[in-house]
Amino acid sequence: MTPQGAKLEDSRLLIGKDQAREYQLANELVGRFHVLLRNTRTHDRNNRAVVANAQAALAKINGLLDISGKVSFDIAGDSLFLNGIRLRPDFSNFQAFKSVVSHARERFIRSFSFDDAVDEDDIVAFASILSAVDPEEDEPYAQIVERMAAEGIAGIEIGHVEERGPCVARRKDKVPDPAEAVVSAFASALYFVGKSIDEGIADTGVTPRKMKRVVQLVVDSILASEEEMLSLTSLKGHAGYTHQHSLNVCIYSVMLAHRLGLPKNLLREIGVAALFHDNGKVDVPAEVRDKDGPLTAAELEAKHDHTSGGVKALSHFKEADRTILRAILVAYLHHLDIDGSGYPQTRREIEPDAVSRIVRIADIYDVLTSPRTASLKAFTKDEALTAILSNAGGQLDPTLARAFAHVMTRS
Amino acid sequence: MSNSSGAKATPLHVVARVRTLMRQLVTLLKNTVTYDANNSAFEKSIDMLYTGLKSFLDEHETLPLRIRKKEITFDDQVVYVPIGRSDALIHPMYRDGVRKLTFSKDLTREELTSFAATLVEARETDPYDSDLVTALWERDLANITYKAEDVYLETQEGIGIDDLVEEIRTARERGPEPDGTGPADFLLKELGLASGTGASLEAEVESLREEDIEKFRSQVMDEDDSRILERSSSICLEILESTSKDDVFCRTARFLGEICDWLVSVQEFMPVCSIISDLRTIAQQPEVPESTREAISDVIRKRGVSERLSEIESAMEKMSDAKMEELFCYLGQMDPVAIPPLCRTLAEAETRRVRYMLARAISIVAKDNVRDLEPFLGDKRWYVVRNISMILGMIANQDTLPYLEEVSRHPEARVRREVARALGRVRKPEGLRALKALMRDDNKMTRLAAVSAAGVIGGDSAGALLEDIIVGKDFETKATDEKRRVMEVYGTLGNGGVEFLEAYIEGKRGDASEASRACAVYGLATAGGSGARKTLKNLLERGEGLTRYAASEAISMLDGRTDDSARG
Repeated sequence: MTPQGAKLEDSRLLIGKDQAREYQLANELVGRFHVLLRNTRTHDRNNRAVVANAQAALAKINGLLDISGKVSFDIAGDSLFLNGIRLRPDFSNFQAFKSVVSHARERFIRSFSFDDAVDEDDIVAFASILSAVDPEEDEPYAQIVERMAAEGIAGIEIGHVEERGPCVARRKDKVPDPAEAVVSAFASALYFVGKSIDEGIADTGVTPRKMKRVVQLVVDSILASEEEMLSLTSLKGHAGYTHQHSLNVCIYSVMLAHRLGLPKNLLREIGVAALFHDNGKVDVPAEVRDKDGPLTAAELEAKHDHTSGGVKALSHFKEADRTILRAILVAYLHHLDIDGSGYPQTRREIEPDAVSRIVRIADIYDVLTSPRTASLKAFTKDEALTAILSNAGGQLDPTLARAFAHVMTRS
Repeated sequence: MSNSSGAKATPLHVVARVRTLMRQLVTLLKNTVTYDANNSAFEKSIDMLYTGLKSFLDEHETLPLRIRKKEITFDDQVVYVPIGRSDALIHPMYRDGVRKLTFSKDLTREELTSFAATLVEARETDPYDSDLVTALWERDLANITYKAEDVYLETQEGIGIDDLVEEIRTARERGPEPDGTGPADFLLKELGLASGTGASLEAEVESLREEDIEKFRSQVMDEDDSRILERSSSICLEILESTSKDDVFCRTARFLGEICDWLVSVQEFMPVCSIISDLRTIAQQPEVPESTREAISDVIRKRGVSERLSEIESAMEKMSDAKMEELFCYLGQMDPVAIPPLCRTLAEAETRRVRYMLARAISIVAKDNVRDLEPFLGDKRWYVVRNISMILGMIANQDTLPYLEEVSRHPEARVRREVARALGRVRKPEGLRALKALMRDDNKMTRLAAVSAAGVIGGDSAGALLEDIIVGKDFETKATDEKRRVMEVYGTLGNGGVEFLEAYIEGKRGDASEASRACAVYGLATAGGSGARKTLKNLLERGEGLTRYAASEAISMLDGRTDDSARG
């Protein structure tokens, strides 16, 4: 690493006490604003809940003004920046962030800021206007500006996306459909994992670099368009069961990890591990792998070998990369439960690591909702989640089980 | 004039500005390689580029660049052409699939510095593990975005990615497939789960607490490299113990070697010791085939090759004592192939504690391979020979004697002295042959070491050698402390020597001076026993001068001793 690189990484760790408080207030403000947007759609402006939320939002704004003297939110992609610093949503307000960002983006709002002239009524009026203006109508941004002026909102300013100038406008024309980008990422990952399962890692030139590149696409797609990616997990008939299953488990695992607030690099590690969790199935006879009915004891035993088979496949790599080691842990431990049940039973009493526990839940969900043959009746989403939650605490990590149910029911 | 898209062409002065920016970027890359971040030349180049870029972005919002194999273009105008094959700008980008690079208005100086560092580092990245796109992805620079082609996905015959994209599109348009009707409850059993009816979905979801999530998050973040390495090595060992397939075994064993390399690089020596120990246990199982045994040996052998050891070498001097002990355990488990590189490291080691640790480790590794040390006994540097002699002493088996005897004639006295000590440690009567000569060495310290060594070996032969020294012609010429030491060592050889010492004190053996006889009195004290005590008491009562004084001191010494003979 160059000296410059080292210096930058260190500087990222410097977060002051005020900044932490600023983060917290901003997170809370986004949460309140999200509720306000929802409430103003269905309630009038004098409703108790609307007023209470506006008061709470005002308190947060004043708190932020006390710390840094300004409260300016910028939207770039799917990210929200407060005074130039990117905010990272936590589990509880993930939806709130998404909602506020998409609400603003759909109406061509690039930024919104509050100054000390803002009051409770301004906030209620602003939220009501944003809720009322339909993004499908002509020039929603202009309508919002007009209505804000008409209502005399003084302490809130908004910025227009098109104010970014001609280059942005020109670029905007060429921006590919996000859904297409997601399909492309999905297809790349499916192609990649399919080849490595069908032909074996050893024979397809899979390297840690290629694994990372593929999963980076998946992670980016999930960060950009979670719903779009999720919708592809239910498609059938275009790939082998294990291929699609591997990718689905990868998507569910990354989604869960993302909602848990894990950093991007770790999302990639988790994604790679999940994508290759069933690589050992390359050695399981096809008639067992794709059996249209319950497996016999002998068949189960043969299937259980896929965990060590996964390690064998992954130990083909010439170097022990951290990503590969994570994948090895998951390949071996993704059927082992937190109470020690499951398989493989190890002499060294190895407990499932955190990532294996994530993949275990994602794996169960996909097996139940997308059974290995089309003739089997799949569990519904709720049935599968109920099955997972029924086993939480004993066999499955209860926090992860609940978090996963949260992700799936609110997506 | 218009560009390929038919839009009005960018004015030439704008293109010229971008060309300048590209030149400045190349200069920045060069300076990133050469200088530290606080170097003025580096500062100047980053300031110059940053100012130029900011000014451009303030006017134009973005700077989109297309990366082609042999040029960079801006709005279809060539703005940069590489000078040579080792070009730092285009080559890493194009090679790894970057086809478009865009700088945006809110660009910060830090982002630019980070970008330059990423490009420079990408040149040295092993393409097996990572590449520029991955590095840029990791840096997550908000205002320097890129578009990359998936050049790593080689399309082969048959279905390619484009076909797959098309199939997915079709499947999406077609909508969900009709569900099957066959019962699938058995899947729960296959997954090892109880029937899923006990939980209320909503209630469970609502019971999710932020503190539990935070706890899990910290758990994941705490799983550092060492923990992951430890777990994965345990898994590999489990596989090795359970597999009967030779190719699988060899592959897993080799990978375990890779894990060991990593553990060593982060100075986690104890897990490696444990892995090596487990591997040796596996190799000892009678049913293990020879090829498997060879694979294990290979993994252990590779720990000791020069390249791997050199990685630890530079870190040794800074290690804590505790870490040094761990390293000793690790090095002590090496294959004999490590002996030469370890000896070379020992020769270069700067501090005494590192040298001592290395000597101890080498003595363990070379225990059954003493011959491997021989080349270093011929080293031109006397201290290397001395250290190897010390190691031979630590090994302390019969095999070391021919080498010690050989090196006992070394021209450097410090080597000969160490040889004498080593011979004492070996404790074999055969070592007395070399000690006999060393007892007559020109160097006093060597002589003393040889005498002590003979005392350690003991027995009649050692006693006879020491008697020869005592009655020898030049004994009288030695310093008193040397004479006293010889007598004391002689005294330790047992009661048989008491008679000789008594006769010596009485002047019946040798032609001794009063000082020499007084030294013999101290020899009696080390001999101990009732006979010696009686003689000493007589000397105290009837003796005179130095002999009487020595007897007085010797009795005090005996009284102070705690062994039975002294108490008697």
